[in-house]
Amino acid sequence: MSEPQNPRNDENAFWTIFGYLLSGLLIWGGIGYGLDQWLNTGYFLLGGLLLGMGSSLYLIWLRFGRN
Amino acid sequence: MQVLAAAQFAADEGFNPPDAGDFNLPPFIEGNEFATKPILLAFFSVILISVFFYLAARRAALVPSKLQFAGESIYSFVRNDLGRDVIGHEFMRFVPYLFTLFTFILVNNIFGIVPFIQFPTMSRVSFPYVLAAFTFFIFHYIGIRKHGLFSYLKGIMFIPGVPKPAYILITPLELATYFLVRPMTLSLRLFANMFAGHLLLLVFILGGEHLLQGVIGLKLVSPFSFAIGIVLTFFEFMVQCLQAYIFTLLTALYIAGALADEH
Repeated sequence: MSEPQNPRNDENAFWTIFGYLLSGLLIWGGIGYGLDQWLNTGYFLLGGLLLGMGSSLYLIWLRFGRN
Repeated sequence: MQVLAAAQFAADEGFNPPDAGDFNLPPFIEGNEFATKPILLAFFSVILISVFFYLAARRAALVPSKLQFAGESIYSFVRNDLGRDVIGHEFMRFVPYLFTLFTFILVNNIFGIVPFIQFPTMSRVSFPYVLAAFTFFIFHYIGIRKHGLFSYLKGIMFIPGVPKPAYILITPLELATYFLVRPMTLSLRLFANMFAGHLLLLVFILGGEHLLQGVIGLKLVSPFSFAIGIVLTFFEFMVQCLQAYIFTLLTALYIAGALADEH
């Protein structure tokens, strides 16, 4: 989504990035945690957190780094 | 160890550090759980704001009085800086909401440092929750009405120019951001700032008072605690204004995002 250009884009970017990082960890970490509980394993949580971190960084790059 | 600590605690008839219990004010009418200070303050703030802006706008003149000038400054700040600059040409529809939000949060925050009131309404988490819920429903409603439900969701879920497999990774994040993280951060940021600020003031001012009752050495230290309390009060004033501003600004930004043509 292209936000309209305005002087407060910095603040917007800050909170958007914060939100993406948070939801990346929550969603993929949560899925990993659920898989761990289900399959009685211990590595899906770590994998999920890393995947979540990676995909939120990718998403941030898509939103803010591409142009 | 615990026994020892408890004994020591009893020995110096301890200072009770303020904690979350200090926010749990009992109702002042016995048995009526709605008659509490935060609720009363919320109603009081509405009356205060209404009367202030009624008086400010009553005799609107070309050469404004001081009161009119104050009222107009606040209004034009919200209208221009938060409405027009952020939302763009459709901003006038949303100015009433933004203005209500800003003044309501601002006054209720500042209650935290007004003598004899000294309780920020927004440090009870339900108030920010409700305000964030309003914002949440409003910006989604606007987006759905403008784009239609299907293409609005599509705009959120699929940003253009990404290889297809990547959507598996980032679509859940986009959905979580829009439907979970936004309302949560909006409400919790306001709540936590007010909660922590009030606690901080309690620590230094009640601490100063407690030191005053101690031996002479502690009495001498007490003014420093009060001094820090006063400095922090000014700091709190800044935080309170800033939080009202941020809440309104983010609301405006979310509305602008829902209105934007290409998602």
